[in-house]
Amino acid sequence: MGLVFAVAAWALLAVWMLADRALYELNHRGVRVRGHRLVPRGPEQPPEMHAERARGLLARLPAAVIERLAADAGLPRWLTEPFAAHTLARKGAARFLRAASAHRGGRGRWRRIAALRILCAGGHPDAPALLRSALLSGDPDLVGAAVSLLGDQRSPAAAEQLIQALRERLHPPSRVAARLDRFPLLVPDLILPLVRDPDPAVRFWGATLLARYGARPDVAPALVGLVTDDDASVRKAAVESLGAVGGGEADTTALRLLEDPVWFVRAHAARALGDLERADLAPRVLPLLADPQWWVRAAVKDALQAMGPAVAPAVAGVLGHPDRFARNGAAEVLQNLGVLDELAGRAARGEASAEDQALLARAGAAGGIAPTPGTARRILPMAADRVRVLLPGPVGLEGHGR
Amino acid sequence: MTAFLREALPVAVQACFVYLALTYLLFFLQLVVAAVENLRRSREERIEDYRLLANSRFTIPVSVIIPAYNEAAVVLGAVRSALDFDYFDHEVIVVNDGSRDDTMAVLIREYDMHPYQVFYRRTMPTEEVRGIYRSARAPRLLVVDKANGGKADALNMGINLSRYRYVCCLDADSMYERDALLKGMRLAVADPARVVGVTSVLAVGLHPERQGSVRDAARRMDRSMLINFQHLDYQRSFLNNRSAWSRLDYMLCAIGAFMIWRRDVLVEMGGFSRDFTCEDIEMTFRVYERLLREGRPCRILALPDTLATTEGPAQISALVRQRARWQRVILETVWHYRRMLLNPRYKTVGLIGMPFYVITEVLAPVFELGAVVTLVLAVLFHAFDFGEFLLFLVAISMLNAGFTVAALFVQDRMMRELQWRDLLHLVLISPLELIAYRPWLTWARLKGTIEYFRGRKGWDKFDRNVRQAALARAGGAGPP
Repeated sequence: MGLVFAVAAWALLAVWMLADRALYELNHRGVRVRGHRLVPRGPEQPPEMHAERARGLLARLPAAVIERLAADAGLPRWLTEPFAAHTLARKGAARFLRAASAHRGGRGRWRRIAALRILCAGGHPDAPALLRSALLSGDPDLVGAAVSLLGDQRSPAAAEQLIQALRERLHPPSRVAARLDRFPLLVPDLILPLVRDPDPAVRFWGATLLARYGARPDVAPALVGLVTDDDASVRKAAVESLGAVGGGEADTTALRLLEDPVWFVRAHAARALGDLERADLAPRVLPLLADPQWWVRAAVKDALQAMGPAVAPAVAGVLGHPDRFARNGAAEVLQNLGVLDELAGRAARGEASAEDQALLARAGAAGGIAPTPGTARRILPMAADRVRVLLPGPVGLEGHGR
Repeated sequence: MTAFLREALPVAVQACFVYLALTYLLFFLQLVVAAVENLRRSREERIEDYRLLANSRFTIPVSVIIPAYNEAAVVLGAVRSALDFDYFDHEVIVVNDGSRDDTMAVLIREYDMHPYQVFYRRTMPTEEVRGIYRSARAPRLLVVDKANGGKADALNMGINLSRYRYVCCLDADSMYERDALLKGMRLAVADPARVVGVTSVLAVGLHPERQGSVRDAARRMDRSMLINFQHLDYQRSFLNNRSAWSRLDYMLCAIGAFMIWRRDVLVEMGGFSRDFTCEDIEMTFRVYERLLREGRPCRILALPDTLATTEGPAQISALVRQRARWQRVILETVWHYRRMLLNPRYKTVGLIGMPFYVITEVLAPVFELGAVVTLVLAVLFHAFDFGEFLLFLVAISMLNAGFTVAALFVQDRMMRELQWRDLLHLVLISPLELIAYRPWLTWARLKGTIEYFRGRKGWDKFDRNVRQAALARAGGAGPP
């Protein structure tokens, strides 16, 4: 009895699986949907080729498969839109409108999401109202799908709904913000009021999202206004966006926030100055190489490197700093900027001035960096010995950060 | 004595039968839960906009860590696939753990690596660092050359150097799908306060580099029965069991070949431990133990997607060594964290996960050995109907095959990546697994249990015979 049951269970499952696969192959006529053969990899094809490909698939695939593909978030719009239009024309919108307006149970939820996707891709006029209802449904999957679909709509009303979702935390704010950040329309007038919201989390996202709207003259002042915000995250977001936006007050604001009591604000202020690529401001950033917080020191190194080789003279001045973190950081920046390689190269060719040689030696000795093996191997293996003579020997890092 | 044995035999048979029935019942219950979980993940997959995740500046960057020890034949495949991850921002840190082969040379040659001094933060102590290399060709890549200290030590070194809030630990002998990181991180960022770790399903092959990036082509199974059985074993274990563990919040083994962790959690735990044979399962237990004891939110999730292909042992001796090591680490970990067993403070981990581990892993060698001894005694005492035994064996084989086909079914529905002939081949060999493959695992478990009681801790890395030979044929140019 047990044997019969076991054999029957195995055979049934095996036949079911193979039949399911056969049906899948038959329906998809050789098109592997999850396998990306539907959308060939490689350079973007011209729109006329997309249209031709979509027409070919419409002629080839069964209606049920086309309907399923129309609701697939993984496919590009040039496929989902004609598939959705075809599905709506063939089956009528009423069925999808019913499914998209309410649901019961787990399967109903996924059907509702599929119907919403098809109505949106097909450009149905009732889709925005249905999306709004989905957004307020409280069901996390449904709200997520609505946020995703709203992010693809080319209408300010959709952006307003996304902003409502952000304010009321209907969905994880980072996901909503990601949608707003890549919204098909520019909506600065909707984003700007966020920075005046009483909720610091909303102000944070407002400041972050404004980075996209640097061309607007009122954006930089709005961001500058946030640098005195009580909430450190808001100050951090403001200075980060100012780094991207630039403008007259970006540098002075970032410099001011280098002295912020909260470490991550200081770190982002330094990064903002790096984004502005203002090598002349390097001396103002350099003291933070000795910041008590590791992440600030790391941000300062990144910022100095972003400012370019012009910061080298200022950075070289820190090689004699009493703080070992500052010395190490300065030497590392010089190395990563290629300054040490350049000096070592000159030394190898016998072209190094006394000043060059002194700097190279200071980087090796006081900076705690070990350019002897590294620099020499990078530049010219043949000249390694000659460079090595100029250095006091491999000193390694003086210590490790805390 | 003989009379005693004659009386004891039926009791032993009954005990084995009860154990067998209990384990299969547990597997069946898990299969039901896993089916619900897999269906949910599959539906989520259809509504997720991965293009947005891959391109948004709000997608959290990840530090990918690949520890490598004597992996010259295979490391390039893993590094290449990690660098190719379809992700907004990630760095790849390869830690050469004092390899005695050409691992470093291969990396330096392929990626034009140059030594740099990096002033890193030594959050966790590790063996001495010999050098840190940056690539002239791949700006995301950083290679650390350090003295040998074991995989845990290498991972800790990678954590020290990592710059981002999440770390993704990979194996140097595996090949990864382009969307592996994206799919894993989708779950992590959906609920970052609670989700501290994410793991996934692996496929097994002899030549993972031929199977990687299968999204562009159908997966080709290697024609090796041993590898095919391992593949089936993995699929069943992941899709029937771990999906259920994930659903019920006791994902007790985030696999070393693909595990995403929140970096702050790893740092808080003090990094991976060198005191255990393997680091992955122990870290999972430790995270649960600490966070649940302190009443903090904690979820470790498993994806049902096959995100990587790992190299499986090509010889039985190597397989036995590998599985004996796994058995050792299970015993080490379960014993070390025994306070969680049946302890309601640890929720489902203590009440379901740990008992499951004890029944199906810790006690398995005892009952498997008991079954073999009972069988031998039954033959000796003629207390045995060979025909009935054969029928029973066939029934168990088919039941086992049923579980395997259920896992294959889930895998096929999710990925549709196996070719017809491979699918058919796997279905047809599934009933043979119990007879042709399981005995070796039983032997490995016994061996591992004995080694555990002897206090053995070695890694027993298996030789990359097949891929090493391929490398040699290709003139040392690396995997094709």
